[in-house]
Amino acid sequence: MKQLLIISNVCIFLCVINTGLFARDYENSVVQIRVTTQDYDSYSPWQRKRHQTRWIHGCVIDTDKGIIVTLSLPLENHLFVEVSKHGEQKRYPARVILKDYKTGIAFITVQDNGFFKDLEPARLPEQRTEPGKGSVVKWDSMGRFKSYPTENFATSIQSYEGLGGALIHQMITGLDSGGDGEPVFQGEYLLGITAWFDRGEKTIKVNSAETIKWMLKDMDSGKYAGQPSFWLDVHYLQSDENLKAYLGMKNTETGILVLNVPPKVSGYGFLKENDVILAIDGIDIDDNGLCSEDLYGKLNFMWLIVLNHVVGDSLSIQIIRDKARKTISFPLIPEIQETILVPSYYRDQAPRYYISGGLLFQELTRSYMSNWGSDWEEKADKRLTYYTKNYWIYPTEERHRIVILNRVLPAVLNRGYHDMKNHILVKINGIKVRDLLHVRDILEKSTEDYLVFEFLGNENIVLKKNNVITGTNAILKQYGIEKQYNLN
Amino acid sequence: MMLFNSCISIPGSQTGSINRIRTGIVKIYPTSIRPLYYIPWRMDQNETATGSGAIIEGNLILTNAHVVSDATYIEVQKENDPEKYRAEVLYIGHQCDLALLSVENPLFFKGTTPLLLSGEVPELKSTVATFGYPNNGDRISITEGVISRVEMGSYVHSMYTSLLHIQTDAAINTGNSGGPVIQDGKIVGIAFQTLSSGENIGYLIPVPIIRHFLEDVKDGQFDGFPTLGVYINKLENPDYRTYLKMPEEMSGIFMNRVVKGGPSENYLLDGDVILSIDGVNIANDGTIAFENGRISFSYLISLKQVGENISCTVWRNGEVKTIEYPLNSDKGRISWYNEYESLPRYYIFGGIIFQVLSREFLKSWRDWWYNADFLFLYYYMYHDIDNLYPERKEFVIINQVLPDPVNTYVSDISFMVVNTINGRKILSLEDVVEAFKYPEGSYHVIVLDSGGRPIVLEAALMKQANTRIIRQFGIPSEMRLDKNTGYGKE
Repeated sequence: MKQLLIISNVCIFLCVINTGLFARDYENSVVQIRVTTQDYDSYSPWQRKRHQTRWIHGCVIDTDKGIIVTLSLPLENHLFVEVSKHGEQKRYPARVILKDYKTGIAFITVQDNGFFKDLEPARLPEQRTEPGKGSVVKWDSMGRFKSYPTENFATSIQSYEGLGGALIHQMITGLDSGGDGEPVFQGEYLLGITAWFDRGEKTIKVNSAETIKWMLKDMDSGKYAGQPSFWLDVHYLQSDENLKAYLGMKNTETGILVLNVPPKVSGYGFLKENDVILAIDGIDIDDNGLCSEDLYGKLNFMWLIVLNHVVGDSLSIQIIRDKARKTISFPLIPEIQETILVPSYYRDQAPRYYISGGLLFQELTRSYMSNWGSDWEEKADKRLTYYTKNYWIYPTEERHRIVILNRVLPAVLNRGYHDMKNHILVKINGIKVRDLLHVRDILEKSTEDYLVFEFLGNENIVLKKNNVITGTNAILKQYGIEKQYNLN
Repeated sequence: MMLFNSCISIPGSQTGSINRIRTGIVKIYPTSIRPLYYIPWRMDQNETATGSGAIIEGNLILTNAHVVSDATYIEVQKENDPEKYRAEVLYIGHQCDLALLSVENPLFFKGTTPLLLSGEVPELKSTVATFGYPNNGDRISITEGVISRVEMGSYVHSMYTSLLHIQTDAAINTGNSGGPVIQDGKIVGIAFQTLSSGENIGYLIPVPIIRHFLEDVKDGQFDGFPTLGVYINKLENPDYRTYLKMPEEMSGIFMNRVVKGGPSENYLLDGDVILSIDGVNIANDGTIAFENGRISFSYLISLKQVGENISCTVWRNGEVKTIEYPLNSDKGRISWYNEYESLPRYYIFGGIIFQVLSREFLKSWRDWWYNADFLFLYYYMYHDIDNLYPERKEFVIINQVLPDPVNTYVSDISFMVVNTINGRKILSLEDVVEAFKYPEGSYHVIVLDSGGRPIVLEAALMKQANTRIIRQFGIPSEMRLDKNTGYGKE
């Protein structure tokens, strides 16, 4: 057994040598980041939850501009960020330059001028690099620099927020813990930073240098626009000969079927339901939605957008529409929140709410659903679950968001309604409700003596407007609520 | 026997009367079988259990519906007779969990004394005794307790939610079901369910519900309990009442929506306030006076027979009006309640199993309320309240696809709601059968509610494929469109 152990240690050592550089060469690029966050309380949206602190890693990629790359998700709702270098205890206050939840990457900087003086920027590969053997490096809790061999086995486009995508390398590794932004080097180049660690399988997911480079380029343009929106509801044809023939495709043709084009995304008004996308920028898409990339092999077609394009570019698409072949072009536009009726999460934003007569109104989001716990899909109200999971219900002119009555804060003026909760608000005084901002507008402009709130499911709340005006502040005071609303 | 009698003091009864009561108690041995809704042509294994029953006037046995539901064979036995006698279900009312059995052999009733129904709902804290054969015992068990609550509540056998029931702390165990609960020598209820999360909390079906059932079946069939067919709001908030211009002394409930096709459709209007039913005033919280307390006004509806008239006094446009009209039963588009003595309807075409959405189908999932398909659960829960697809008579679903070369690329599809087939709206399972007679050119095209791609099948291959798939998967028939196809009958 002892002999075996020695042999295996030699193997790991050899792996590190094979990468061409020793671990200590990376020491001056790798930093630890201490993040203090405080999440919002989506059940009582006027207050925040208990703060949390965690350590993650980052990598210096530009000492002149002072840029450190790390993961964006751990920085969600951050209060402050500190950085330490060389495994030392000293922490330097840091500032977040950019957080992009679609790519999963964030850039931070340290304002102390001396901080970057004894650090070296990691080199980003000039060309797309074929990932192979490399090292994942980190500082341990004792301030020792550690290096672990790692080797790529798959590269793919993976989605963080559902609407974008990042080039991710999946690698086997000798890492014992982490997945929190530890840099991965291949030779002298930064291959990416870890975004996930599977302890059982001993694998990591590495958010690639390709994505980091793309973001730097976009940021250099002056205003970071982020990945273009290209969220389509599509079906991979998977060699379904019947369906392909029905759509007018030849045996030799492959592609993906457009089921829906949400409003306000790139392609809206250009692409139509039942179009078959054959190729993007002249590159054929197969029946599984994959197309070839020279270095990484088959990738999801989204790579053509998220790696090759920025907002403002024109996209050229070959399609079959009504059995005729066409090429269409349209500009790529940035993503806006209004694409979705029920947004995934309000990241870095306090939940919007409005309180009137003790009725607590909010907008339906996935964050709201998480009030039922991580297994909300099983436990939450079935109607709210339907609207949250039904991503093909898009916003309309009449309804930008789903406004819900979270609950009633019991008081004399609203007695009789105390048990009402999680109802979808449809109308106030006969006016259809667009979103929470609209709720405030309707209430403030109403001239009627009564406020009649109509909810989906044949439930009403009727209150005298005067009682609401005179009673709301007392209810806010009673429940320790500072502000009647947050509509930002 | 002496020891037994001396140890038990039956409330309001003498020893002699206890022996008389015992001659009216029977043990029931039902064998039942249920279909598997997720494999709709298959039956589950048959099961045998035991229950209790009471002999009542007319040589009939009164018991719970759940004791004899889906029964294929029933035997009954008296405490002092070693013989088991064949019995049959004469009437069964799943809503109220009651059934009447008949026994062909007149010898069975020799030496028995029919038990009488009490005229009253027992008073709170009054003592009652439960008779029956719990835990498969061969001798009658008698347990004593008090009446602890009388209210409207859920009947779990059917999931009917608003019938009067009585709570007691008299021990009710497995096998007690269907046994009479006695006070002053008369039946005041039939033991039928317990609260598993509580301590020694049992429930009985009270006499008003039993009488309703017995009256209902007099015409030879069970029609069930009627509904009002309205969505109501309580009017506890004074602002709501002044908004409706109700005088201060007036109370009632607001009618938010009259259900289309329901019994009140042509008589009541959205926006009416129901002040009283049959002269009984309704409070702003939707309750009426009952005994020494209050219960939901729906009790008044449950007292009615299907077809019987109701007198509704309403506040409409500043006037009080009284409207009389007949009540009817609930005909939901998705079966909300548990179903018995019926088989799942299905149609198989191109290997695709079409069925209708129902509670029974949803129960195919373990802990179905949490784990079943979310779209199915939303439709089940809210189809009526949210008025989803009002033109549909039922919701046709795809259960799963039986793999075959003709459906290779769609065989992963399961748990979807069907919208159209070959351009025809699917409003019922029968529509599916009809729609497949008219392919769109060379193809059959199925469009689903949830978006997704259309399912396309090559029409020319279907006839052969249908025969092949049925044979290959050992399915007796490609369709069953009538759920009332009897089974278990000789």
